Amino acid sequence: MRNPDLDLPLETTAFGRFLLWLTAGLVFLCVLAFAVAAIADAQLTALRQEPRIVTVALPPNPEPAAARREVDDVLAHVRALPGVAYASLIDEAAFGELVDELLVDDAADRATGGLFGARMPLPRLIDIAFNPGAAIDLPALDEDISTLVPGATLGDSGQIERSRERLAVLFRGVAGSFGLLLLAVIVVVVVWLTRAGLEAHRQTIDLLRQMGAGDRYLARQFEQHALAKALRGALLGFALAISVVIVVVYVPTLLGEAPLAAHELAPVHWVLLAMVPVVAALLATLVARLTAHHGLARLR
Amino acid sequence: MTGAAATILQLDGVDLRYGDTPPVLHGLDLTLQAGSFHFLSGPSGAGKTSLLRLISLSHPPSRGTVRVFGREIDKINREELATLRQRIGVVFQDFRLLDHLSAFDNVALPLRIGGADEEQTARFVADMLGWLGLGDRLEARPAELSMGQRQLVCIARAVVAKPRLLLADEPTSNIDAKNAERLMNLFIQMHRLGTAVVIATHSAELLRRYPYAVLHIAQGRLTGPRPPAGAASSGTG
Ligand SMILES: Nc1ncnc2c1ncn2[C@@H]1O[C@H](COP(=O)(O)OP(=O)(O)O)[C@@H](O)[C@H]1O
Ligand SMILES: [Mg+2]
Repeated sequence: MRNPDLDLPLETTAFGRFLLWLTAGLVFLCVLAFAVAAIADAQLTALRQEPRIVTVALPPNPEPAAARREVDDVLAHVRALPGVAYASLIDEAAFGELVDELLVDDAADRATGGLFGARMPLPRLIDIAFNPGAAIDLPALDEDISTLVPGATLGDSGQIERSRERLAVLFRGVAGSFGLLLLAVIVVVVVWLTRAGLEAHRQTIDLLRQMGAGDRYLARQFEQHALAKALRGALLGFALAISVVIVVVYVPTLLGEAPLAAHELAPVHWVLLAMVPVVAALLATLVARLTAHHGLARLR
Repeated sequence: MTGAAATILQLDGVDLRYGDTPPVLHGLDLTLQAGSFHFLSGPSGAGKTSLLRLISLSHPPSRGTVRVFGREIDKINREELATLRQRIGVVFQDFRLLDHLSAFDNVALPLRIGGADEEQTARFVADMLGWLGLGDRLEARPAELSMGQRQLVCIARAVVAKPRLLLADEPTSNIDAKNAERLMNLFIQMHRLGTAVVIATHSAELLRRYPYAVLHIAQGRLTGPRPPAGAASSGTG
């Protein structure tokens, strides 16, 4: 016998008709934006997990004993630093071959000892690998090493890594902000729809007031309606957006191609994405109630 | 019946105006006691509906004071005003049923607004509509009902929550004589149970048949109450 219809026929006006679809569309975009932010965050985490390697170049030293001592000094100094995973001298023969390959054009030249007839003296290289996330004071390291071996230089091979890191941070920030902006748009839309609903149902509101309905009773009608509609819309938008994310991120992997996003999302990312529709629906409900209360207080 | 009865409504020097137009009610003084019964008569355009709006707290006075259930309405907040309105039942001339709700849900409105539980609501509403001969139309929408049936639904809605003040605006204008009599019996029943009743009508027939005091209104000015038209002064109100 109990009819679950609301006293206010909110279904019949903009409030009821558009709320579901607008929420669906906005939540769809919002979830996509946060998914991009989550993927960027996953990338960032992965980048930060890779050890960072810094290379020290010692100038050539023709005297073998002195040369040996310089290398030992640098290694000892560096290995004592916090956050260093390992430090090692790059094998000179291997390095020489690499240089030959890069600098000498053809096999004939190489057979005759290359461009300069004899191999030119090469710098000695020491790789220093830092633990992921270790704080590195490169200027101080540079200074220490130049003191130990005058003419020594520091080369940071992590440049590319760090620009990728910056890009990921940028993506995360922009996409996250866009997602928040979309939540704000939901707020504006619900305010607007609720005001339109109050206006459209003015007569019915007057009638219910005549029967003794207070603002709380009336606002609750808007609130309940907003919850029902926004929740359905939000779940719809979420389902669509998640399908898109899964297709983009995982299907290429299944097909054996390189996925668009190299790193899988962590459980925490999925949880955060799943919260978007819930937050959107609760936000819509709260805003509908507050707007209705505010509007009803102004209606005479 | 007079004397000790509680005052339900008191108007002192009340004017009512719509917007910037001249007042349509002028300097009204009126006191209604609990359990009283009055007709409100007067030609069309005299101000009957306006006076009922004033008494039902749906339009504020532009001058003077209105006291309902001992409270001066200028001095109460919105929530209290809502609570006072819950004790007033109104039968509108144009019914004002909600088209998207069944007869049952329309009649249930005042009970739900008043916070009654669903079981009680179901019982009261079914009893009320059954008594009015609409027991088999509970689920019908207003559009599926005849004018007379809609009026009965409107009346059921006005009385279902047992208001202490019942106002009816031309309640017999859309129904036949048999239903009109049934309705008057309902109003008299309410009055006997202690509800103050005011029925606006321009039907001389009604005034002749029922021996109750008459408030007469003409051009926004009130005269009376004068004693019942037909019978000797049988003391009401
Ligand atoms: N909502 C309104 N706005 C402006 N004027 C109104 C309104 N309602 C009634 N009036 C005017 O007030 C006067 C009294 O009308 P009303 O109270 O409806 O009289 P009755 O019910 O006795 O026919 C009429 O002149 C009418 O035109
Ligand atoms: Mg009228």
